[in-house]
Formats: sequence, C-alpha cells, structure tokens
Amino acid sequence: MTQSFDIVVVGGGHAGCEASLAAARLGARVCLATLRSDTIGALSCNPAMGGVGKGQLVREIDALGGAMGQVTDVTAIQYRTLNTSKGEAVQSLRAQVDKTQYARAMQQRVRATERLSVLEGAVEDLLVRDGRVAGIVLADGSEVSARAVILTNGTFLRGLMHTGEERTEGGRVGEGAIAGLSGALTRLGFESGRLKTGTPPRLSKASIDFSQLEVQPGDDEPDGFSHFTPPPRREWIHCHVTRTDAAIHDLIRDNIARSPMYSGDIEGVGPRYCPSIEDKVVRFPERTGHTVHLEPEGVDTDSMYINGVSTSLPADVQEGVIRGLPGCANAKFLKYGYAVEYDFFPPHQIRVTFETRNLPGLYLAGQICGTSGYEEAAAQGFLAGVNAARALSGDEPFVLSRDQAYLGVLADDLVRCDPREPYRMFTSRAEYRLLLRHDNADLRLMEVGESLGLVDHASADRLRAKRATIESTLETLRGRFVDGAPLIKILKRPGADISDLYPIAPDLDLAELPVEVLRQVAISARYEHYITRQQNQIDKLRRMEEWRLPESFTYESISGLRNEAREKLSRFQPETLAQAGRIAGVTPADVSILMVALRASFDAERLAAGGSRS
Amino acid sequence: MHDDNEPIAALATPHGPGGVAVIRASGRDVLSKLAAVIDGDVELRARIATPVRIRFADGAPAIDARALAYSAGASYTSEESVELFLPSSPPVLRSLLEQLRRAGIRAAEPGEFTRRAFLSGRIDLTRAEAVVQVIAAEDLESARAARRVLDGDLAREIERLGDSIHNLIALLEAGLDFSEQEVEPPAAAWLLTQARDILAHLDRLCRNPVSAHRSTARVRVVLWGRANAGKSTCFNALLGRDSAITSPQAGTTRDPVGAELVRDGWPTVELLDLPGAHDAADRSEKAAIALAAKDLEDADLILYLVDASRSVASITREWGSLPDGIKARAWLVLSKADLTAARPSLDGVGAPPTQLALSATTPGGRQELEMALASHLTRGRWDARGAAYLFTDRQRSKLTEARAALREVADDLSRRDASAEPVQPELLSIDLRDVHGSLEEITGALSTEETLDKIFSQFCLGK
Repeated sequence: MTQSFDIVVVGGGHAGCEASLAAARLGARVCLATLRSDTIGALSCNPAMGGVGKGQLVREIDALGGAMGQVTDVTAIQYRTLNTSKGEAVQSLRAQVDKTQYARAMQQRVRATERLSVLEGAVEDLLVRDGRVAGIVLADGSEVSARAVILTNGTFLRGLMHTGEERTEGGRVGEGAIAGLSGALTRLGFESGRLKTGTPPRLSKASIDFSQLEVQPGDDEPDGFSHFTPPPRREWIHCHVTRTDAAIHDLIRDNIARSPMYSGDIEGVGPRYCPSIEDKVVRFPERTGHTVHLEPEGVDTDSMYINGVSTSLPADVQEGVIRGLPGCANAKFLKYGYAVEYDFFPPHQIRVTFETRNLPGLYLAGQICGTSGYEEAAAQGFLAGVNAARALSGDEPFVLSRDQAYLGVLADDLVRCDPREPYRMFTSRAEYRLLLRHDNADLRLMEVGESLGLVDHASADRLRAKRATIESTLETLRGRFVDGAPLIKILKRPGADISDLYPIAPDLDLAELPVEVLRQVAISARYEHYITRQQNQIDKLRRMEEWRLPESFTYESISGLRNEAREKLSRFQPETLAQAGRIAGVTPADVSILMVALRASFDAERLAAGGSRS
Repeated sequence: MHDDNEPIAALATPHGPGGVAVIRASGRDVLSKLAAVIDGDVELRARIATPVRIRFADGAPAIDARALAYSAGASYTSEESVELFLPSSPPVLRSLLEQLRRAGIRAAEPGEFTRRAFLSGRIDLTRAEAVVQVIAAEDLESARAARRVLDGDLAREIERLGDSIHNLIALLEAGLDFSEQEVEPPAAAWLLTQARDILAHLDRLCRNPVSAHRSTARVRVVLWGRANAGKSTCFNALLGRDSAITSPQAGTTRDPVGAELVRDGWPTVELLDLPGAHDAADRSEKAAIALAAKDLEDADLILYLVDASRSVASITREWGSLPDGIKARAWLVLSKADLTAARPSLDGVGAPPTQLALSATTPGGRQELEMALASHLTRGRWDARGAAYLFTDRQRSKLTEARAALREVADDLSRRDASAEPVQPELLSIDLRDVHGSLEEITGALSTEETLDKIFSQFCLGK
C-alpha cells in the first residue's frame, strides 16, 4: 500500500528542515525523505551561522516563525557582532555552533513536530499525474504519493567529490549521491547546470599548538538570533587565527596542475567570494599571506575546521600546506579538504513562491537553485514550505518584497538570475538595507509570521507593545525642545549616544526604557533622513511592482523590443514590470515598450470584456 | 497634470516647402474652436472635406484649405478631430499653428496623438507595436541627433564618470560585505580626493553649455538680407544644388524656400532662404516680409548677407539699422567676395560677432562660411580643450543634480577628514548611488514609471 502525504520534502538539510517544519506547522501532513535521518540538520561545511547579510536572513527566518535562529541559539559556542565599527544597518551577528548539537537539536524539533514524519531512502524519480507532481519514487521502487514535492537536495544530485586526482561519488564525505533525480527532472523539461563548492580540511584539535596562534574572542553578552528566547548565556569558546606564507604559496603553485580545478577535471564553476586556497594564490599572486581561522566544530569534538584553506589539492599537498601554517606543524588530519561538483537547476525555472513554472506542485529550494550557504538555503526552504502548504489549502501565495526583507531580495534575485557561481547573500544586494536591519527583523516581520500562523499572538502582542513604546518615545523626543532644538536632533549628532539625553531630560526616565527600545530610538534618529529617502524611492517603485505581467505574455510578438531584451524576458518570465526592469540586459526603453504593450493589452481586454473605460 | 482631452494641433507632414501639408487637430470642442480662424459660417461635417478660408490675425493673406472633420469615437485619437489640408509653406503653417494656439488649441507634444489613441483604447497591441516600429524607423533623424550626443563622446564621458562613482561604491560595499575577510572601506582622505576629481570633471562638463533644444531639435538657419544680396546663391552653394532660382535680378525669391542641410556630425539644419527685405514693392512682397519676421524670430542663426562690393559706410549703416534682437543671432556674410578685389575692413560696423567672406561661385570661396558653420553647429560637443556639450534641459538638470549631490558628499568627506571622524560607508554609498542615478538618467540607464511619457515623447510630432 502506497503511503500518502500532503507534501514530501526531499532532503534534510537547512532548506529541507525549514520547509518541512513550516509546512507541517501550517497543517500539512509532511514526509521528510532523506538518505540518512541522522544527518538531518547537518552543517556540511563550516561550523558557523550568520555573518554579513546572512545574519539578517537568520533573524528574519526567526521573526517569521522559522527554526534556524532558535536552534543556533541553543547550540552556539561563540557569537561575534560583525561590522561594529560601521553603522547598525550593516552590522550582523555570526555564531560558531556545535555541529553535533545543532543537528541533534534540529532532529528533536523535527521529531517533536506534529504531522511530520521522516522517511529514509534515496528519491530517484517523481510521480507526475495530469500535469502535476503526484509524489516520489524511491530507489527500491516504492512510491510515496503527495500533492506537492519540495526538492532540497543540496549538493547530492550527481554529487562528485574531488581530492586531487581522486574522485568519489557523493554529496558529502561518507554519504552517497542521488543519481536518478537529475535525469528525471531533465526528462520533465528542466534545464540543469553544474556548480562547484569546496570545503577545507578538518584537523585534530589535540595536534595543534595553540600557543603559536592569535586568539579571536567573541562577544561576552550576545543578543543571540532568536526573538523568542532570552539572550543565550554560557561559557564561550575562542577561535584562533593563523596565516599562510610565501613558502606555502610556492608549494601550492608547484602542485597547481594536480588540483582538479586547474587540471580541467572540474567543470562546475566555484564561488568567487569563497575561493579555494589554490584560487587565492593564483588570482592574487601579489599577496604573500592569507588569513586562516581555526574554528572548533563543537565543544566535545576533537575536530577543527580550518576556515580559509578550502581546497581540492591531493592529500600530500594538503598536508604540506597545513603543516606550513604556524601552530600546525604536527597537525593530524581528520578529513582532507575536497571540492564537490553537483547539478543545480537555474532558478529562472521557479517563481518567487519557489514552485516550478512547468510542473505545478513541484518546489525547489536551497543549493539545488544555485545558491550557497546554510542561511540562504533555510530562507528558501521556509518560503517554499509556507507556499506549498498555503497552495494546498487554497491560500494566497506568500511573497515578501525587496523593501520588506532580505528573504524578499533573495527570492526576487533568484527568479531572474542565471548563476555562474553559487548565489550568496550580501548586504549590497539589498538596496533598502537601511530599512532591512538585523536589529529590526521583528518589527518588520513578526506580525507577518503571526498572520501566517507560525508566530503566537502573545509574542506578536509584545512586539506591538515594543513598537508603540518606540514610536511614542520618538514622538516625545521630537516634541521636546532644549535650547531651541528638539531632543531628537541631539541624537543625530555624530557619536551621540542616547544616554546623552538622560541628564538633559531627566523627567523622561529614558533610562528606564528597555534596551531594545532605546536602541531602535537611537537608530531611527540617526538614519531618519536616509530612511525617509529610501521610503520615497520605495513608494515610487511600488507602482511598477503593481504592473503585473501576465504569464501568457509572449515577448516574441512585441516588435519594439531589442533581441537581447526579448530573450531575457522570455527566459526569466518576470512577474511584474519592476522585476523586468531589474533583469540585466533589459533597458528602460524596453520597460517602456513593455508598459505600452501591457497597457494596450489591458485596454483590449477591458474592451473585449465590455467594461467601461476610465 | 494634463487635461486628457485638451485640444491639440500639430503638423502631421514633413517640415519644409512642398505640395500639401496636413495639420491635425484633436480634442474637446476642437471644431468650434477652429471656427474662430475660419472665414464665414462654414459647417464642418464629419468625413467630408470642406473648403475653408483661413484668416490670419497678423494681417497675412487668407489661405484656402480643406478641412476634414471626424466625430468623437471615429478618429485616430477617438476624440473630435479635424485635418486641415493646405499648401506646405513653413511660415504659413507656423502662423496657422500660432493662430490655433490663440484659439485655444495648443501645440501637441511629441507623440501626443498616438498616446491619446492608446489611452482611449483606440489602437490595440499589434497596432501599438507597429507604431513603435514605425516610429523607430521614421524617427531616424532625431534618433541620430540624439545618438550623436548620447552614443558619442558625451555618453562615454558620463559613463566614465558613472564608472568612477561606481568604483567608489564598490569599494565601500566591499568594506561592508567582506569585513570578515579583512577588507576595510577606504579612508575619508582618499575618498575626498576621488570625489573632488570627479567633481572637477563634472564642473568641466557643465561649463558654458549651449542652449538646450539644439542637440535634439533642428537648428534653423535663415538667410536674410536685401534683395539680390546673394541669399539664394548662398543657399544653393550650401546645399550643393539648384533648388532656388537665382538671377542677378532683385526679388527673384518671392516665397521662402526651405531645405534640409545634412552634414556628418551636424544637427539637422533647416535652411531657409527668405525673400529679400527693404526694397520690396508690391503688396504680396510686403506680406512675405511680415511672414519673414516670424521666421527671423524662430531662427537659431541668421546669415545676414550683404554685397561685399558696396561701400563700408553703407554696409555699416545697413547693419546698424537691424533690430538688436536680430543682430544678436546674426552673422554678417559678405557675399560676392569674388567680385571685389579686397576684403573691406568692417571694424566700424558696430562689431557684429562674426564677419565672413563668401564667394559662392568659386571652389574654396565657401570654406570660410562652411568652417564657421561647422564650428558653430557642432559647438558644445566635447573636446579635450574643455568645451561643453549641447545639453537638453533634462540633461542639464540631471547633471546639475549629480553635481550638487556630489558636492554634498565632498563637503561631508572633507569635514570628516578634518575632524578625523570615520566615514559611514553605508550612508556614503547611498549618497553616491544618488549621484550615479542622476548620471544614469542622462544616458537613460535608469528606469522609472515616467519612462512611459518619455517613450511617447520620442514619437514624431503629430504621428
């Protein structure tokens, strides 16, 4: 007898976890299909969450009711706030986590979630009925029927690992690859591509001489990621820093031909922002050293992650490189670094809901869409899970805008990008980043989470009370004048701190207000001018966002368009005029012509419908 | 806000002398407004060409025309419309449009008829595309004029400035997004140097820009002077053909003759040969002079021709008698220079800005005028010596916007530099983006909803 679910989520990584948790909590009966249930929630690469741009994603997922922030907070072993010397708008939180504990905590959540069950097995094919996805087929031939399927296969689709000349099939060390699913998708008409990513060696902590290394401490009293739990307080660990030198670079150069990247064995394109050590040496020959961070993979593990030396060089060269690093002369390898190549499906094939365009009910999320990073994957999984569940219950699609969240930027970027390298979030991708700060994710999104049904009303009520206090305090500061200037003006001065106001206006009892309220008041005051400007731009653009491009729109027939624009528009099928304008290769003139054609077709429709003209 | 059905009119046929011209007018009550310029009480019936006589308030002779009316819902624009068919004489047409304006029918903006047709739902998607295509094809002239400025040096210049700003933005962004990799945003002092460099470049770009409309619109050059001063000979020489009849007999040119002068790198020149002034005898000649006054008023450049063989005193007197408004835009061209032995010294004529000798009939005799025209008409194109471009008002205002925004950035950087206050890269980046945005709008790389208005404004007038 065939098992039957509302939704099958394939893959138990960060995308798969958020997708299945969100969908199950929204009422869908969900099956999480994974190769091995003990790797659910695993951190395949670095033992860290967050970072610049990515920390914002984690906070947003949390505010909306996702899991990543809370799981990070219970398993973090160090926090660092990045960009502290710069403004609040670009600050981000980054946490070192205990990998084993993280996966365990995530697995507990999965087990504890109603309507969510786990199925072990390799998904090799999709069931399709009446033009819709109808379920999955496992390697043993058994079938699981479902009304929606979310693929979050990460690097496992035809995954191929490289260490020097050695090649192993698989998406992660010690685990296999999925062979059939790529072919199934291709047969269904999906276009695929090949990408590459890499990971550095893992060393034994006991074999490292820490006395030779620089200590990198974290924050003493971090806020943590989650809006729903108190700031984490525990004993924090340190990370350590070392550096490559000219001799190491020479060794790499001498063996460069043995790196599969350079020998031509790897076809996939790797990320420029996270290059392998051989890439760094080749591309920046003038640099005589690169920083290397030694990060513990957990509290109780001997494994150290060597951040900065991602490599696919042969084992003997890796040993030479590592042992040349100060503090690592006697380092013992637990795992060698490797590069992994995998299939992905360019994301122009999905909508902003992450549902594929040509197979209703099928969703793609995470690295399968050509992205990189746990946080990016989790964000997509969350959006896909919510949308799949909502679609099954007939609810409106859940789409966040670019001015609302990094999640919105991510989705909007993906549907019109052709990744030549894995897509990663940066703050510079968010044109409204002064509004999308990591400190105000709750103010922006918690009520959205509440309306989805993923955030409880009590939390949202607390958020509303906080917002009211912030606004009333700002109002007070605007209205209270000292020496002819409103108090808020004092806060705008460079280097001003809210505590400067305590002696000036003691009766306001500002010091009694919660810290997070004071922080928001100070930031709002400091950025007020720029925030107003960004708000104006948003209002201007919003009109373009409202121009929806019908799916049936045939760009081939619009003769005023330039060929390049026509191709790009046909490929990316933008959903709104604003989206069309953001596609590289589409000029303002093309947008204008689209606007004309759109207006004319609306008018024609109106006439055909016999409606009156305005 | 535009009144959607406000009556508008425009010439629907090409500029210049020719057989028949069509002036199209459209809008609310356009027929009753038109009655104000029509002799007698003529009833204009839809779809019937009715003979009408058009009166001119400025005393110009009445002109016979045919009026073809369309009722609302049955015209191109779906509005009440009328087409006037009349002889294609530029001064007459201009006069008529002016008359219509006084009667409450304003000049249409470029593409306004087509825009109304769209907005009324009158033309469907395929027609809309066809129009876009036709416009693209038929508007080559202005497209060329625009491209000369935009695809050429100015665009490159602005793109280069945009790139410099973009580079600064990129460095700032890198300092924000890659701080984990030990990339720091540049220091205030260095940024200040860069900003000042770009600012100096912008200043140079803005220096003495020539008046706005010339870069994209046509330039009207009018040949004027006394009868038999050699205007038509000059006209033909410039065009390299014989379209005006010339003879030594004064008053050979009785109607204004116009032609387009197309030269590589020049804006399109509408060259107009006017009937000679001053010693006109009969009435129709006088009327022509009245019409010439209008042409002179519209001229961007007047080539005032005098016979070089005349005495310096009489040339000086004649030049001195010209209205100041004309002299300001006129060059004194000494024609028939081949017939005089020496070039007269004209230092005493009250210093016209440009004096040129012209010998239209000998090779090389035209060179002086040709070169002066070339330098005048292409003035404003960028060159290394720091001359300015021709700017449209829109380009001007965007450039000024960019400059003002960048100046604020530089001021802020200089303050920070002096007080050793750190740069705020996340804010500086926004400010620089605004500067970049203004520059992008000049070359058209930035899109807003107002682009709808813009694309329509690129349509040929009256299309």
